Amino acid sequence: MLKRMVFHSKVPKEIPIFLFLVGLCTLLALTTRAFASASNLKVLGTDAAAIGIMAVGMTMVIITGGIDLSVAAVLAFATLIGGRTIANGNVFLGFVVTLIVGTACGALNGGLVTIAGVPPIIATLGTLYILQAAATLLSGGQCIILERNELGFIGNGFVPLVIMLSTFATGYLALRLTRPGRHIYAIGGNEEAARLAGINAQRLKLGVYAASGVLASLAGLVMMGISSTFQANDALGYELAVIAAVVIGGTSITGGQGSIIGTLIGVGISTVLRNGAILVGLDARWAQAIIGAAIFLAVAADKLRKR
Amino acid sequence: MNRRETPVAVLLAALTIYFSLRVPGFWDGQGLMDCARQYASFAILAVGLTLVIGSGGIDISVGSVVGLSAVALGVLLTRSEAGLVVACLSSIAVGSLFGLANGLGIAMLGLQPVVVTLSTMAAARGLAYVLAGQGISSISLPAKAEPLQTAAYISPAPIILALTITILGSVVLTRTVLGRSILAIGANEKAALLSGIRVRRIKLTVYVLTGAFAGLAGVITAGLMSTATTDAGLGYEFEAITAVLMGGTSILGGEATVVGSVLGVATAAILNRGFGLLGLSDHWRMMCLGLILIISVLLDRARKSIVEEGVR
Repeated sequence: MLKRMVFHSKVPKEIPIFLFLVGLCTLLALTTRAFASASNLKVLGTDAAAIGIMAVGMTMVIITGGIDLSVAAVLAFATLIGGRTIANGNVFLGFVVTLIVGTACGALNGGLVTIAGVPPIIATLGTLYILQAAATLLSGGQCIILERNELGFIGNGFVPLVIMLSTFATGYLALRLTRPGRHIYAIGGNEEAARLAGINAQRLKLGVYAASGVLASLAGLVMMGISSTFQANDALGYELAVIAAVVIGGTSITGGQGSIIGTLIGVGISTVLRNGAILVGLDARWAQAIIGAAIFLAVAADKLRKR
Repeated sequence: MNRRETPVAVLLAALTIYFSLRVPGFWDGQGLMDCARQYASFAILAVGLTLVIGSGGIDISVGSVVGLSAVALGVLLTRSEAGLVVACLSSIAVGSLFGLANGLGIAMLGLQPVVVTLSTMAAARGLAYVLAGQGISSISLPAKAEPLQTAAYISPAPIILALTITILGSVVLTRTVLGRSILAIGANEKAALLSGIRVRRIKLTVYVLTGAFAGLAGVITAGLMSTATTDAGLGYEFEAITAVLMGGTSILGGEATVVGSVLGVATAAILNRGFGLLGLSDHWRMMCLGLILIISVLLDRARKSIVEEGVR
């Protein structure tokens, strides 16, 4: 009985999208020579890294029933502040400053949502524009260039991919095995019931938005590590790709349900779709239209499954 | 004046006085007209968004739909035999189709407005790129678009159109069964359904209307700039939503005011003109709007809790 419940509730949710990803990769590997080449796989890995790291935080936010539109702006703002220090040679300090600024921005979102009671979509839409504008003003349109590849230790080779996978592993364990992780699901399922059961929903939600902020700044460091340069609009619009990955991965936008494994597959699908569109010679611009359609289909499928 | 609009009216008056004193040439007639013409599209978007937010929903796809409609107009005029009127109507129809997609997802499938309109936001912008073609980011309108350009750029037609839509929107929202039903749905959807309101049909109507308005705004924008660019309308949803919420419409639905929204658009326009003349970069304006957006929602919450205290 228990076995059947587990089997029926857990496995089928991620299997279809996993099969879709496998099918997509097989198709591309068979039809284009470039797809399975070592160099393209590396491109895929680095492409996925920043989006994937942010997607772990976004999964948690969406499980609580919220959304974070500001991730790309937090990334730009935090990375530009810390990036200057790194470019001046103080790598460790700049690294820490970036992560602290990212956490603070996330906590600001969390504070607006919990303490002030602003709906997540509006709070993070506001901080999106405030932080993106602040980042652009701060940089004065200038690009940060790391001449000595100071962040090579997180940007070279397959390190970005390893960082992304470690983030996923940590997120998976946190959501599955820790008490706050389980409470996050409880809040998203029914916040009132969770509160009455003694869960401090406000504090947890604040923590989840802060986590999303710190992961965004980590993603920024990885991006800067990969290319050794960074400017204010390098991550413009990334929030769409991140949310797409999470939603395609089966996390329910109404909260209470979602899996980190699903998100990992979702990141794979959105990365391969973008990469594949270019490889098969479709205009790269099709990718955005396809991702939009994919989000729509994913939420519609989620709804139909629940009926 | 209704109390709901008081904060925006005060802000508008304060900014107007401040800029009149601080900025020489603020009252220049031609400059004000240009500013009003540019913000006519925002007023049209804001009327649609007021209805959407009043019904308890949200539509963040409007900016992308403005872009798609502008590009559709440019493509139809330059790469087909279509006449000006047909092209304009087709562009508005494209906007309505996206509104229909939003409405079907939200009203018929019962999906969350945030995600549905997020997906159409991505899809519409993507389609605008695809429609324009590889490497093309702007299409100059041909000679046959002359009447549109004259209407948008020289005559006060956009302003008159925006005012007409505002008045119609306000009358519909406050004095018709449709308007009252929209607010009833926003206040309590289940109660509205149980009292016999056709919830699905009304929500569908509201989103289609907003899509059509976005299409119209795209046509005006293209006419005003004499070119259709793939980036047209980028970020418009943010400015229009900010205008609606600072105008006193509640983000939780059920309480909405078209007049407030248009005062919000006027405030955004004044801010744009004032900052522009002061030589402040656009990014400062965006930061201000972001702050105004968040403060407006906080005000709405504070007002609600005061009302609840009073009831107790």
